Amino acid sequence: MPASSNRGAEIYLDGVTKRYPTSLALDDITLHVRAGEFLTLLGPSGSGKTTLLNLIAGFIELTAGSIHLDGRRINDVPVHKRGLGIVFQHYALFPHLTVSDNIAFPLTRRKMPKEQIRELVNAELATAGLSGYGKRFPRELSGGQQQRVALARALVFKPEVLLLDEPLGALDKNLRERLQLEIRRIHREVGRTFVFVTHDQEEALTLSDRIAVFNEGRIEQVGTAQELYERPVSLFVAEFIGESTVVPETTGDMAWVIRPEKAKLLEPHSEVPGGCLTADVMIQQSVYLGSGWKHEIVLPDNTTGVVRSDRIPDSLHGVNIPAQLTWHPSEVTRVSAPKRT
Amino acid sequence: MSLASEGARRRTWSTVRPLLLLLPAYALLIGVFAYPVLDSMWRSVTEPTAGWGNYAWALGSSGNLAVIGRTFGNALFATMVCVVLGFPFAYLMVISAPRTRAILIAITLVPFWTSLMIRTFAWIVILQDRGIVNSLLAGIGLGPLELLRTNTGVLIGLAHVLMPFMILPLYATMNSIDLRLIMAARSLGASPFSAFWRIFVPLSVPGLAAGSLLVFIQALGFYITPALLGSPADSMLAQSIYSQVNGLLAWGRGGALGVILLTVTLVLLGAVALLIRIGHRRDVSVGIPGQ
Repeated sequence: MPASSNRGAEIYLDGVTKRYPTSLALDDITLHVRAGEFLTLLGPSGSGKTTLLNLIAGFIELTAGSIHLDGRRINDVPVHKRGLGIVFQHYALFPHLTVSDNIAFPLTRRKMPKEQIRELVNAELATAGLSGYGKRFPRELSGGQQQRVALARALVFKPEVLLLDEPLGALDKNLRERLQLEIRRIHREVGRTFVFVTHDQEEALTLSDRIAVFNEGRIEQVGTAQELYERPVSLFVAEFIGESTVVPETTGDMAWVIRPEKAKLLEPHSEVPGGCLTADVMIQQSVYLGSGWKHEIVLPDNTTGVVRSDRIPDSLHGVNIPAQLTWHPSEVTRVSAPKRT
Repeated sequence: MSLASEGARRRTWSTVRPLLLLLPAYALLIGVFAYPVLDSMWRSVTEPTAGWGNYAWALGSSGNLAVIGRTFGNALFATMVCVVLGFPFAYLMVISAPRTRAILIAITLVPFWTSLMIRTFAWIVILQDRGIVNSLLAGIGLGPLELLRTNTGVLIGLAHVLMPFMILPLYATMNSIDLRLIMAARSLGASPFSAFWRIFVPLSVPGLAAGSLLVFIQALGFYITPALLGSPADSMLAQSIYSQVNGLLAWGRGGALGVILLTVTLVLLGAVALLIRIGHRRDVSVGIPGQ
């Protein structure tokens, strides 16, 4: 059993590669998860994020590279000796054991005295808001309650690292949002390292200290939500996180990534503020959202974009109105974007 | 007539109608099962004279008691052999790759589809004094073992013939076990053996129970296999019933033996069901009470 310090462990992944006979699931991943941080692995399905989680957990073996936990190489440490807590998407509660016995499972494996187990289990039940449910079986609980039990079971033995594999994927939207806040609170309270896998960018933005964006077995970018939003390093990150308008430069393979609130719409041929760049666009339609307007625009290359504004000139109201899109280079990012053919 | 009672009548009809589909099956069961059983019971207390004479005979002679004891002993032993051999086999089926699994399923099903007579005669060939087993034993300087016409031979035959009835329900149950539960157990600190023993095995108990029941009950009434592989001195209940009815035309005595077989079986099954229910009520592992 890992020492129950109040900080989590740090994880260092060095050149982690996983190759299957017909595919390369992870390609030379190097990533440093800081002690106590909430790091989310975000990416579309098949991008390698779950594979990486399974490698850290020890369910599958690396093809190359190494994994270090607080400086200790754990490549060859079997799953049950890594001492990491894992929460699965489908809860993975033991159907033949009661809620109490499910939560007690990691403690009985560690040969803890019965009296102590009882206390810890009851404390976890109370924290999870499930006091009185101890004698029930998992099938007698709702999805949200089952996930709470799964969380309690993964936390009761005070692991230094908690791995969460799309734990909220099977829940409906309201419950999802409630449990997101709960997971956030638990992270603050226990102060361990959390590694969270999701394909839902909103969830990633809500929960994480930092986010690692995965694409085709590689990490595109690691950073805070703000860094990823304001300074995406690639078109993939820009398009995966938040809305944006992508304007290709006329020469070269670069493009401007313009977030909706960083762009302005002007009448055609009107004067552009100094230092700003501009592109001809067509306003498809404008929607009033209370806090302002949202304009859907089309670029000459037929890609679409979104602009937000407080107000726009009357002449730009309507459907299919030509306009100028302007932005200041210092407020947006330029990323490599091979011309689409 | 009020609408409510009209609705009620319709509901009654709609619950009764599906039951009509069961009629042919029930008619058949009554004709070929219920009637003969009741008739045997009736004859056991009326032939040749009214009274409990047949039962006094059946339970009063040490020969009959030995047959009854051997029948239940053999059935129990065959069940245990099936559990011990069938469990790892079914587990192998679950964890192996699709192609290996297909082969293992074929190994299970081909004997299952083969005529019982043919399989039993095959065992005669294998087990006889100069059969394959004894030739191999002689080759390494052992034996010969007396297998055919012994109770050992009967047990081997029973276990083999009934093995698919253990493996198939076990496989069905094991196949439905979510293997992610094993991963979860491992992540919570359980060694591979502990995860298997505490999670996989308990979850395969329903299949184990179903398989054991099928094997045990069929073994109790087995006729051909013990008749061909055993000696008359090793006979089981079905053979005694056969010789009473067919050989001696003693329908009453045969009936009494049949009723005894049926009664003891039902009592045993009731006891097992009771044990299972008691086991369910108890907290399974550390017995942590909820609040």
